[in-house]
Amino acid sequence: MYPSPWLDSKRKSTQIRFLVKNLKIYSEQDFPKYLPRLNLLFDDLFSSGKGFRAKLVQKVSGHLLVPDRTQQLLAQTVEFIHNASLLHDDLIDRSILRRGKPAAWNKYSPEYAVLAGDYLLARVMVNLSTYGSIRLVQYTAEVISELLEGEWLQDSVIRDFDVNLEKLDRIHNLKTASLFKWCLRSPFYSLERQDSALHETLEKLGQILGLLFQRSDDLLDYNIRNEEGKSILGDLKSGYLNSFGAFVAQELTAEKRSMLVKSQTLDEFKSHLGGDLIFDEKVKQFDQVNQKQIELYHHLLSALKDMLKPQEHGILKDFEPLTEILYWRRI
Amino acid sequence: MASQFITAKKGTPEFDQLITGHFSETQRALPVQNLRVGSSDEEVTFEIIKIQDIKQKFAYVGFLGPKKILFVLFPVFYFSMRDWNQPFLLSPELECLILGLILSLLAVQIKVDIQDFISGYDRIRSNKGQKVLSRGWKTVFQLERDFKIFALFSILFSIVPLVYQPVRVFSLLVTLLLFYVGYKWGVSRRNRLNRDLALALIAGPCLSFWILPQVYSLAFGLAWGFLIFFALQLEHFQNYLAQTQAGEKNLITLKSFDQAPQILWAVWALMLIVYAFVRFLTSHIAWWGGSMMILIIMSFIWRKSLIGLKSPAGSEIDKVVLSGNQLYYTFIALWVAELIFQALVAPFIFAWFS
Repeated sequence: MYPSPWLDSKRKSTQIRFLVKNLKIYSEQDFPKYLPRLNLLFDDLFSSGKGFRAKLVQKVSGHLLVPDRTQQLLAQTVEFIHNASLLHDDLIDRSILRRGKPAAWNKYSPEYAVLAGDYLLARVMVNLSTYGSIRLVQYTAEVISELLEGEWLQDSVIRDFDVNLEKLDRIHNLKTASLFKWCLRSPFYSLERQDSALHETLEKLGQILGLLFQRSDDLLDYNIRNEEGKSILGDLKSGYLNSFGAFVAQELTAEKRSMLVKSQTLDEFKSHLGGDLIFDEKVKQFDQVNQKQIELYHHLLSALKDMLKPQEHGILKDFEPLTEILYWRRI
Repeated sequence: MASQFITAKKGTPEFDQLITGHFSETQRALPVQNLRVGSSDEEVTFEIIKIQDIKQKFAYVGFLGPKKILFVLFPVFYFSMRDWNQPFLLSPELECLILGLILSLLAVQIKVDIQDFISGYDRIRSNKGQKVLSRGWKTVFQLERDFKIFALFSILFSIVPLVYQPVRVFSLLVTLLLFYVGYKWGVSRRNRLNRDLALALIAGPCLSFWILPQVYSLAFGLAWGFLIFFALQLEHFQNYLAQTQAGEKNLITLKSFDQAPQILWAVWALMLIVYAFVRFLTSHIAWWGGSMMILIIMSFIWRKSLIGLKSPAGSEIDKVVLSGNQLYYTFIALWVAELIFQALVAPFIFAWFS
């Protein structure tokens, strides 16, 4: 167990309040008061998130001695992009709740949810371009584009219960991993450090973190390590066979698969799969597959060491526990 | 048990040892990740696995799957059945020709697999054959050795047909030229269209002329080449998402996903037209009409599912490709049935009536 600098529960609420306040306004033009609902919508959206991505950016930035003002910009950027995607995602999926509260489109209106998401992305571009690093602006735009591509593809496989894990990984690499990659790479870009070897290694690290986070999140749907109390079989019931679902279904006959995806409760799901023991075995196998990714992550970390300056090696220490936090959910 | 990974830079002795399988007698190095692909300092991360942990299968089955072996054996079958009464059928010429073709196919498949493995191309595609190397069933070193053996024997067996009919040398020369133009140029430019065209011409007109050096063979070869070209495009279509993400260029990825099915359909329809024309010259009108009717009906059923595809990421595309493959096999099966009927059944019926 790591003494986590990431999600210390005692300091969590204070940190989030500070983070939200800090993230909201980078430029005076952010969130004008004359726009009705926008400030309320923003406060609702940001008040219950963990701000994990912002913390990750700040961790990396801290070791690189990125100025505080730039750190604030980077943290704001990643949270704005992430939350813009959530605003749109909830509307696309018609999800009524977000983090246990009414989703923005449901509480305000679908129109406001769309506009607020667009507004966040627009502010990202305004503030980043003011900062002046053209490579950072370009990279951020690429990441937003990837994220949307992932959303688009994911929407195209709704109700497809024969989709395989390899294809889902491609979607998650775009949809989920792109922001993790951004968190690791953008602080370097903000300092105009563009070494391609370094960036490609960070890209691969971010890709693995995104994949692990997504797969762990998908396991919550089956009540595995579900400390957050996420609703059970939510993905499956809304027509989306997630990565764990695809993993367990891959060797089933069409008939069994068809029964499996119609499950309304976890017990029913386990029963269609062949019982608790088989279900537990599948979880174990899934964990083993992901454990290999974790080992690859640590191998890449050792390669990253040679690409950093000695005074930046603290990054490695902060990166070490990330797989434990994101996949195993050990804080 | 914890996995072991090693990263090596391309071109270094360490990389060569790992990629060829020379580094250990008891372990295999399987590439899992490429960094800086295509640059001078490209690096590859290998996972080190004990040979005993690999579930090995007979590797050559992957190289000689039914689809691939039909590429070369169907034309041999076609000409054998068509010229049933010719001495060619039972001559050493035909036997050597068949052995030479199978060994050539095996050698080419092995070489392609080695190149795809070293370049990392086989990791882009989800359905690239048996992945003999990336699964650790064989090492590059072992396959290079096998390639040399198969290539040598294919040359030896090909000498006999060449001696029987020296005019075959034209086919050989054109094949070598196409290999150079299509394969080398295609690989270096990441443009698979040239490679596909070259393969279709080699397996179509060149192969047909090699089997039976007559002008008619070229007409058959053209129709056959189209079918091969379609089979290659079908494979690209299945990998549409991966290939477009990797920036690979081929006929199918030239257009957006909404238009790609139209291209695939156009290739199939064009092939059917060429086939109909070639078969019209040689088939009985009743057989020609019947088989064309079946193929046209099946084609339009397939077209419906092809055009209705919603996503390159879902499972639907695999099902459509499976139906496309079934169409391909039905097409050949109808042709085979016709040839058997013409060569074996029709003479008896004709004799009985007369």
